[in-house]
Amino acid sequence: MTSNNKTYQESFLEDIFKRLHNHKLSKSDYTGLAEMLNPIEDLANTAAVGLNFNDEPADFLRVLNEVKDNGQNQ
Amino acid sequence: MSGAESITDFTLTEVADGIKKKKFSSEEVTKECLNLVHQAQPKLNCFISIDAEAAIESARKADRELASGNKLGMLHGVPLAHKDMFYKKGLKSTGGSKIQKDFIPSFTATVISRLEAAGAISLGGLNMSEFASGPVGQNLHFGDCKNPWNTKHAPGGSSSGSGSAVAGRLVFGALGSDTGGSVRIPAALCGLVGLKGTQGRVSRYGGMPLSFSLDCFGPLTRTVKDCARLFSVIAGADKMDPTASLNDVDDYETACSESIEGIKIGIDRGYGGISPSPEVSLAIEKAIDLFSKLGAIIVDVTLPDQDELNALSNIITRSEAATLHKKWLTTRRDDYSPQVRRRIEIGLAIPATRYLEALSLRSHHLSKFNDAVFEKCDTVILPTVGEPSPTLAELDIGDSKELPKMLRRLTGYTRPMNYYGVPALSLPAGFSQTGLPLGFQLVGRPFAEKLLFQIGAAFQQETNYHLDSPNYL
Repeated sequence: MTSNNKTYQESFLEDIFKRLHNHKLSKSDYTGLAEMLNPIEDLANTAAVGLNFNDEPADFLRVLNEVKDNGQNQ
Repeated sequence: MSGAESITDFTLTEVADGIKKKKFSSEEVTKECLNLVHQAQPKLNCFISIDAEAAIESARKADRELASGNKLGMLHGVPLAHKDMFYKKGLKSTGGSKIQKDFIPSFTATVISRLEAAGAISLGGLNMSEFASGPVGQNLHFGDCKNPWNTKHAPGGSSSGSGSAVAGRLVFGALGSDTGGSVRIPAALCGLVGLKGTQGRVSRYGGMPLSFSLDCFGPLTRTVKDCARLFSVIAGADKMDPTASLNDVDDYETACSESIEGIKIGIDRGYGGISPSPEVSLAIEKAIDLFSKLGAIIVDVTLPDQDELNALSNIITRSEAATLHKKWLTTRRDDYSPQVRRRIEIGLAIPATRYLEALSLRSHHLSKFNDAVFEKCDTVILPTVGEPSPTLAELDIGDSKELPKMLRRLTGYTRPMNYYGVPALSLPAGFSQTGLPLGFQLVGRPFAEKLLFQIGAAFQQETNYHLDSPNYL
């Protein structure tokens, strides 16, 4: 993917910070933020494939207890 | 007891037993620790504040209670100190930050109340990465904390002072917080035991938050038995924290003397796609051999891709941290160090859908991890950090483009366990050729802390890495 195809570009981040957060950073800040965000975004896109329609955050606590150690798991 | 030369050489459980049996008083122990703290502070910088007078007064009170035959707690008269982010009513809690440097909380953290109820004494607030954000242990506002094994090297973070103070024999144990490895990383780099418990096993009430979905508070100690005792005191339901688990707390300390025969330990020699250094890899192979000799059954497993999990975990931490810090990021932006600001600020650009996706996928990934690993074994072994402690100078990269690489290097193996919410116990695994500690972690099913203590204690009964002490004075 070329840098132009990356989700987070400096101009996009400048817009987000200005419009959503009323916040202005330096150009080097936008560059640094983009460099951190793009790899995370790419990996998250891959992971998102596993999301099902009915999934929600609270499922985590249910699964945590379902798979917990009960001394007889093996 | 071990062949200790000084009181500070005793382990936490040894010193607690010694006080109880009146071999020495709490005042003697506390003064000995404070004496060492004052000598060590210029070299290690592991304290942000030292409460000497209050500590000595508490120790005298503990001795009076002992003399009057009162019922004693499990930590009666034992000096500890904690990361400077656990609130104590009326006492400053800086969070390692300039922004909160004068913050005085109006209530006390549940973990601190429980330690006090068990008789523990606090010597002060320990250094930490600013706002618990950073795996190195640097702090621009209070000065860098140093690793007692080599003061040019990083103690690890974010619970840097906790690692440095316990390894430096200044206190018998310390609490830290772990959102992506911040208890386990300093434990590994300073040659200590450190536990991140199951998500919700320990109340988060009154601890400075970084990420409310992933934050876990846990102990750093020299031995597994010490860690088990501290964890026994702080674990359990809390009406002040509705996210704290209602599950019963196991008898962790008794588990420390049980055999590990027949326990299945998994290993993925591909380490989930992140290769450790040859020294760490060798230390793990030696540990595997030892576990095998002790009767454990070693099985091969394949860990899911750790980079993907790191990304999901980062999305949650950054989004939640940015939400907590949003006001200060706009009004006091220059009061953050550049690296910490960068790490928190990225959360302002993550969409809500991406954040909720990462949270919603957590159950799916935990099930997948369970099927891949815990259908075959009881625990899995993997590095805590894939190398010995780097130098502070090497890690002094600010907010440069090297930051993501450095974070992967130090937190690549730890952060996924916070995402899964499973317990992970870091253990000392030997030393590098340059004399720096190495560590590995044992990861268990949710609420398998007892099993991890059992395996860890068996390992320490056969090794002496935890008995060596650094010579930094």
